[in-house]
Amino acid sequence: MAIRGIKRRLGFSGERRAVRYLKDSGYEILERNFRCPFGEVDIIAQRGEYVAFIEVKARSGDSFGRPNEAVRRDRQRRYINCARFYFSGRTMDCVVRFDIIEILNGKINHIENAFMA
Amino acid sequence: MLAKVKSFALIGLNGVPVEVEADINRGMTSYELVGLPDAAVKESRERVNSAILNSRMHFPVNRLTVNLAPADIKKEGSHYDLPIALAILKASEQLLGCNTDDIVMLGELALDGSIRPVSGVLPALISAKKQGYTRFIIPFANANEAAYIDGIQAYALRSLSEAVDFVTGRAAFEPVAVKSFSSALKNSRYGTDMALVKGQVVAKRALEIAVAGGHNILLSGPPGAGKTMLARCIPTIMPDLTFEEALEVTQIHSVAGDLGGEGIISLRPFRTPHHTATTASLCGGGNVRIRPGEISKAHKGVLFLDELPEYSRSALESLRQPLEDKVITVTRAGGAVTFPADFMLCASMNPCPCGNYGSSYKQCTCTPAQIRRYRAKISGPLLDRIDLQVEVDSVKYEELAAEEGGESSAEVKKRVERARAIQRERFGGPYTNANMGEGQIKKFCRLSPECEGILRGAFERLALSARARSRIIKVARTIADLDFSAEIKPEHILEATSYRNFDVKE
Repeated sequence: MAIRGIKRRLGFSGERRAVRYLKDSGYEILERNFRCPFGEVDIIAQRGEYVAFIEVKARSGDSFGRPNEAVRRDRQRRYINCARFYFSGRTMDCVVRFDIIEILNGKINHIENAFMA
Repeated sequence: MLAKVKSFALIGLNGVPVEVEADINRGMTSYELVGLPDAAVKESRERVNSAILNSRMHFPVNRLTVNLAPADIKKEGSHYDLPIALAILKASEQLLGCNTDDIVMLGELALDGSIRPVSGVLPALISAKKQGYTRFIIPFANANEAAYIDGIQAYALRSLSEAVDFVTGRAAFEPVAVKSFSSALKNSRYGTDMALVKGQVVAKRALEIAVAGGHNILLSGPPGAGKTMLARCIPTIMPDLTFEEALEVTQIHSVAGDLGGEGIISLRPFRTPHHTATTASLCGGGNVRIRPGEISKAHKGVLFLDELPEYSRSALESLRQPLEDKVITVTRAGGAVTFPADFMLCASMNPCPCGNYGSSYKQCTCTPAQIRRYRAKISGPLLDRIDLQVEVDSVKYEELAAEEGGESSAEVKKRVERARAIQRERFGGPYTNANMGEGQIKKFCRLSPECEGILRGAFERLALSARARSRIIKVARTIADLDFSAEIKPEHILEATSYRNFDVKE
């Protein structure tokens, strides 16, 4: 339990930092921890015509590889399905983008359009 | 926004215009490529993406759909990269004020944005020109292929950024300069010459007759007698390729992708497929992309089959139809494609398994049954299409040591060209004696009673097979042409009869 707790805390603090970063960059946060039957989306944020579905990956070191490498095809598919679900009740008059924000040793790296539907 | 750019698809040697459409919309970011692309075309996505980014332009973050129209023909090859990239740039409004409507583009992109050479540029240009297109962007490395077509402006560019500069008019480029075929012809040489072949007077004479009349020839003799060397001389005594012939030959090699930077093929091809060759490699094949086989690559030249009995039976039998029709139609589930295959067949073989049967220097150790089995590997119908069958015996040492090799190829070629001129006049076109049908034989090869008598005598005494008769008459006609003789004389018939070794019944 203890180890899980540490990981959780790292994740939460990472998401908080990501939200701050996005707001500073002019994004409007639409949702945080958006849950749907397909899974969870960390952050949904909008700037201009772009609506970004953002996966936040925080790690304390790169001994397990870079954080963005953890977002594989199944996770990508989950995000794409979540996006479809999110827009099922709304009009999609925007460009839907999938981003990854990786936080490694306190440094933020925002990868825009990290993968495509 | 929607953007359209023109490219070309090749079906065999025929080009079909392809419209590359790119559409950018709102929605989930995606890249969809439709219009029956094959694997190489589908992979264009990664190349186009990197090439655009590395050319300091933006790959649009949008819902992007690329369509290759018409959607019902399969698109294969890598030459759609460049038109796809330009369509995407145009659709994402990065090429304002450009006009691409009348430009046909072909080119593969490297990740750094440079344009790589592609196969099939020449046939695409020729078909596009026929359909009224005159402006082209082609890879720089393919520039030579455009140099022999006049009436078009082909711009050979090195990179995607050059292509962008060109279509937006930011920079001016010069179209590929037209080169003359006669200078290409003058600068090309065969690697061998008749004068280098020592001795073998009879075989040389037979080659001359074969080339003059467009006959196929079989050289049979012991190993090391010089069969291959003789065969290699055949292109050197054939008339020069005309420009139209050279274009046809070059198109085939362009589609096959073995042009290697050469602009136009000005020498007659000499193809020597190994005896392990499969039917598909000889006749052409492939599934989506049907490629020409060896017989098409030998178009207007020589197909040399060394050690004829070693070839697989089915491979040899597949030659029969193209030998008659001068074209080959390759049919696959994906469609049928016709390639020209007007070649002269030259085959060589040993007379028996040990190779020394009939040699005046060595003893043959084969049994008659072995020899019969060996020869039976070549079917009658195929042999029937080979007008001259010549025995090539080993050369004596004195002949080998002799300084003088005899006539040069240029001298023989002059006689061949004269004989061909007579035939052109006779048939009113580029036809040869070998192509004569029975009707034409009756019309052009009237035999005097004396000749008829000789032929009857030979027929009975040598026990010639029935099909040998018309072959002998055709060859006699060619010998007469080489002799400037309007009618076939007894000596012509006698010489022609001597080239039918294999028709003698056992």
